Amino acid sequence: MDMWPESIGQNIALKPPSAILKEQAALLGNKTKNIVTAEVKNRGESGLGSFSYNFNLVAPAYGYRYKLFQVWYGLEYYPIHFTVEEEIEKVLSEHLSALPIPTQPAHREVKHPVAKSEEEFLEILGKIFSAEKTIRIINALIAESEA
Amino acid sequence: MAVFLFWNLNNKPLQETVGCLAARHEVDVLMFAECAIEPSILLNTLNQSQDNISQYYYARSEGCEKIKIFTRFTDQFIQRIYEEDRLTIRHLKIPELTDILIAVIHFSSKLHWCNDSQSFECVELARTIKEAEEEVGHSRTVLIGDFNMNPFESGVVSANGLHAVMSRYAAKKKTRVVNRREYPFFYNPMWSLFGDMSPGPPGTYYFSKSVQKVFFWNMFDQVLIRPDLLDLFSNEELKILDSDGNKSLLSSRGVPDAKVVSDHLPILFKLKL
Repeated sequence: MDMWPESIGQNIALKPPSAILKEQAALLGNKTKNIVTAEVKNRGESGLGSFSYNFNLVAPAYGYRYKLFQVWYGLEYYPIHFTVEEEIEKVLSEHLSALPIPTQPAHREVKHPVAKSEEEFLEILGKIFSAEKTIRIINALIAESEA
Repeated sequence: MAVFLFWNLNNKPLQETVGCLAARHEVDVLMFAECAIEPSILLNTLNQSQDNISQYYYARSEGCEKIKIFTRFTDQFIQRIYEEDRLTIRHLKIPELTDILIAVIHFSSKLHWCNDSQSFECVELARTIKEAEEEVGHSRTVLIGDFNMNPFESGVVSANGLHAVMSRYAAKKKTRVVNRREYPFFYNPMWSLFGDMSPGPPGTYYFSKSVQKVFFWNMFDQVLIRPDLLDLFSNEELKILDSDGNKSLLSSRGVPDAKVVSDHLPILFKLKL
């Protein structure tokens, strides 16, 4: 007898954040004629969430990868926590939130960008992709690959 | 013999001192954190007294702006494999010599990151290094830099962190299994340079504060070596430098001269590649 409810696998409304990242990664390749691509690398379970992914820029011509950011999230997908480098983090100041790990009183509270919904997730991705440093790196990788 | 030097320059214009160190020790690979000197200015100083054969080159990076590398060969021999803003992993591949991976790190400071955050980040760093090793097909790796952690801290020692141990004998086992998971070792020779019995200064970074627990000397700048490279490394070939040959890098109190030079001391090591 099958004791599992019919609702399993039905009405999955939310798109997994990893799928959104993979869509965006594919779009970069289209934009650069695959001279610079992006990859979403599964980091497995991290100490801070059930799922963790790195978003890397890739220059296939010379086998180079650059980690643009990392996300981690739990089974419910949201909130999604980001680790982004300092220069790019500056454009995400309104999304900063404290990390869910103990912080020693002597240290400044560690804050990272957090997306509480799919809408915020897309908004943060847009800001990271449009950041001056991101564009600078992609353009440098294109120039280097074509040299 | 390939000669490597790492130094956190504390954003000071130390090109003359770097030039002295490079010439005195015939350094092949210079690696810097907190380097505010324009590469062209540093190259100008480095190449002032060099003949054409041993000219220095800037091994540039697209995204990792926290680390700067200069070499006595063009950057085709030290190709970038993977980078983050605080990490660069290079494949050093000089003809006729054993190729190695060099990972250079400038970890986030304790001023901004708590110990837990640093430890979590070490887990990520360990994974990233392992992935780069899988990509090049060997684990002849050196990890060097300003870790902003001491060799005894969790992130450096833990199996799922950097797994860097003080004993060559322990590291030579190559891996260790914990809870059915296998973790590769690093050997951390910096342990042998701690304290007054070491041949040089007792650490690389000095910090004093009127609190209950303070170490005074810290070993934030470290070089970690994979077991597969241990036969090419001799502990005598690792030094913490306290002079550039002409002037001391220490203040009159015998600690790193943060006002005039840098709050960190450089580390120098050699590998028989």
